Amino acid sequence: MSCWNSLCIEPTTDKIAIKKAYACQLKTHKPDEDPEGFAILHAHYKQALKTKPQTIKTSEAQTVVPASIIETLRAEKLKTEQNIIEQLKIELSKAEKPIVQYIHETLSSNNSANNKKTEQELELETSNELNFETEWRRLKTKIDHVLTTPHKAIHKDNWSFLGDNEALFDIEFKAYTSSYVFEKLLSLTKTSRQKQRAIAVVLGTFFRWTDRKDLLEAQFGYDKVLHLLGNSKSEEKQNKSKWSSNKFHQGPIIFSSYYRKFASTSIDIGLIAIAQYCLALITSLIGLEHFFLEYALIRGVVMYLFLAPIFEASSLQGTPGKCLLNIKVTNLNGRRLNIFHAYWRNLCFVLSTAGFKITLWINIFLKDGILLHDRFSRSMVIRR
Amino acid sequence: MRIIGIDLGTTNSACSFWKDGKPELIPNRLYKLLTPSVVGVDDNGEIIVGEAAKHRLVSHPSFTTSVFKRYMGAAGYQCQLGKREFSSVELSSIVLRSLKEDAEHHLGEKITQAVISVPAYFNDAQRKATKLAGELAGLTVERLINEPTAAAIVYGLHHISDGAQFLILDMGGGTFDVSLVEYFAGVLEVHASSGDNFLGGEDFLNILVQKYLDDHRINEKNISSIERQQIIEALNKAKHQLTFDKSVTINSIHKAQDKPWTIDRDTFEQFAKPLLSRIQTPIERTLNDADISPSDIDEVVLVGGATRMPMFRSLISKMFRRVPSGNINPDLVVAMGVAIQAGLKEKNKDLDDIVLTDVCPYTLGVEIINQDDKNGKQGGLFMPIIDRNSIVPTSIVKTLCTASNNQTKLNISIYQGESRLVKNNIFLGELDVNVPKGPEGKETIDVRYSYDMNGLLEVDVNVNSTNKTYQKNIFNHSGLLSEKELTTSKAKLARLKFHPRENEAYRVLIARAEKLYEITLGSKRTYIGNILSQFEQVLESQDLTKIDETSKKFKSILDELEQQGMFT
Repeated sequence: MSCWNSLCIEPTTDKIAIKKAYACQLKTHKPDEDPEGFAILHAHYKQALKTKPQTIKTSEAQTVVPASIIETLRAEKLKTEQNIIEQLKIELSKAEKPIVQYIHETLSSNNSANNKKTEQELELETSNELNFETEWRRLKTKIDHVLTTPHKAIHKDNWSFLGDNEALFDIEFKAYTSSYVFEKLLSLTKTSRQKQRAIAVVLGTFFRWTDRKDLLEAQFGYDKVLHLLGNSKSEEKQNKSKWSSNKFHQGPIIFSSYYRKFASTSIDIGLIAIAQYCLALITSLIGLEHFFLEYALIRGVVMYLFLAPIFEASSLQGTPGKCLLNIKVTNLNGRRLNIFHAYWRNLCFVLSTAGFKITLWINIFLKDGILLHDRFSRSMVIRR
Repeated sequence: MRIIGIDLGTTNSACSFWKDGKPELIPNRLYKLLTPSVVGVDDNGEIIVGEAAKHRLVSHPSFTTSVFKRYMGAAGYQCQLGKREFSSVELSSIVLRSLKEDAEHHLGEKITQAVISVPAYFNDAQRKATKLAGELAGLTVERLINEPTAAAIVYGLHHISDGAQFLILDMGGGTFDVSLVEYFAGVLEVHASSGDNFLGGEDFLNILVQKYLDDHRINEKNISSIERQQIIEALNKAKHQLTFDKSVTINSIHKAQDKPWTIDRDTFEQFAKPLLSRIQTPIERTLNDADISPSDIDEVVLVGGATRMPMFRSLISKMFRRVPSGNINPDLVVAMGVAIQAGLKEKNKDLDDIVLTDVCPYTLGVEIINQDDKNGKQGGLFMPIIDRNSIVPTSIVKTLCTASNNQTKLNISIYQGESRLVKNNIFLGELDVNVPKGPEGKETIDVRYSYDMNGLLEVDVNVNSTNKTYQKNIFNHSGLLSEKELTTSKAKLARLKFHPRENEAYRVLIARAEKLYEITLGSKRTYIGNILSQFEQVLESQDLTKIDETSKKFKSILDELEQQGMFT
């Protein structure tokens, strides 16, 4: 069904006729009564509005618009992408002094339309007489001037002329100036990144760049916006939590290597040894020396088995050794283990180390990096 | 079956219905069209809503609350009124219930259905909360309509020529919405919509309060809540007065103020600049999305009480180089529009030719794995499914696949926002889907997002290999109310005693007198105390003619006292 069929009119470029036909059809496909019919009708309506004069003849032959909504939407997306490219071309061609002309046109038409003269309008008229072309030239030289000396540009006061400028109230004028300044700032390659960012912060408060990040990203590309405006949130987060990690693992899953795991366990054993040594020292002071030295190894193992699961089930998600070497323990879905799961994992660990010599060799030759005890307990050790 | 329309605002609410081919507003028990969205508990534990509660904000700040719409859908917000705690949903439902009673009284029939307006930029959780509030108040919410859209219907039907494109700027007490609307041949089409959920008249008032406190070197922590409310009320009046006068002088409202304090428009504007600069972004976004330049707009329409501010008007005039129109009462136009929507819902014959289409104001999508993210700094990527400003109702399917070998579970996290990284967007909910084991990328699932006319989202997930379907009605994880909580909430509200509506007018008079008593000093204060206790004695006598007579006299005295008050 072509878009013209569903609108019940002949192909045309007359927007009013299309709109009338759409309005007429809409009465039988009301959005709340017939949502699917409405979605198709609306997609066709949009398509009809976009038709350009030369495509009309061919469109009759090409009646292959699929009925499913998804496909039409996809097609529309492609179209808009093409449009964007075309627009970009146009913008590039008139890069030097755009917008200025047609703002003039609207001014003249507007002035004649205003009949009543209230107090507000009188205020307005004075601003209406702004000449955008000269205003732009003046503004441009000022901006260029300030930006030539970056150490000046960091100071807010040097930009105060932006706040006072009447013309900058106009939406289009401001948007244009904003992108001009942004581009100019990007081209200051000689200045250090810190300085560029500092200037961007000062200007950003005036142009509200952080609010419009997505618009800027669409215009200049993600990396450049990141370069200037940074990613303040993530940097804060990074500083805050190196040790504890999120309950759910985010990002790709990278299994840690055997030697890293071995090293982390060695660190833990070292820590336990230190702890046992300290305990022994303390007990020797009390006088129970004999008793405490005898079973030091067994006590160390029990201490490890008691503490390790607690560490792994905590927000650290790993023993101190694992934290130091930047790995953590999660379940197969990348979530933090609960305490029982952690105890079960360490029990498996003990069982697998019981046959230490055999499992050591098996573990080294396991290609996918999940050790025996992790296999049994259905858990894994991955990079943070 | 009669459907009423309710404009549930941050500061004021109104109620309306469709009658004989035009929207009609329903007066409340005090014969006023606007009911302040204020809820309080009185000394007997009875609930008071509206005008009386508003006066009690000054005299009994810890038993009264306002501006709770701001916290709709927010997790864990509880407001303490006396001994009881209320969530913002419950407070809203109390206001809705009061409006419903007024409507029942006015129409003489039982009302069970309503259309409620919400700010266009309200997210899913906030909309769900509003709907829930309606249900708690005993109303089936037939439709949630966006406030600027509601205003657009009124302007479209009566004031704008056919084929016109107009921009609605709606700034109420707490929210700012922008919608670009086209009206042709009975079709009202919203092209694009944007907004800011935390920008409204209350923010401008806060600026003024802050300025006052700074000027008098008052530390905010050192003033009691009664003093604070006094200052807020006086400055709110001053803010309104600034609409008409170039400057306003306030007599002493706090002990730290030793001489009259004057504020003029320009200083106010100076201090409100940070707020004013936030107005531009949503407008720009809307124009950008609709792919239209400011000169193509036929008319700029202002809606909402806060648009009366001269600084707002002049900013808009400067932005668009034309005088914005707002010839219908900006406080009531939304309520009128909601009545038209209610009429449409009733399938009224007068409105047979009208069709309304709206858009989804933000992008909705799902989290996907970020392959470039080596060090975990960026987090997951956001994959849009419903693009912002696509027409509603809409239903779109995207196919996702597994990202690692032998994956058995897929976590679908639903987000709303415009950033390409999910961490900068708003989390709406999540859903776990089991898939059979297989190599990376083999298992696929279809994720379908359906966005309905009410602005509510539903997510369906279908695992292609097993044909299992999972479904989620997106309830914000935090604002979620389980069935059990819902019933306890209902029971709690049912237990509340409401002030009898017949005595409401007297209640307001008492509240006003109590407020005056709080803010005056010396002999005037004893005088007010005396006439108040006299009035209360008369009320207890139950002699209707006498009560009527005294209340009239009492009212005129209060009017006079209030006139002498604040401004010089």
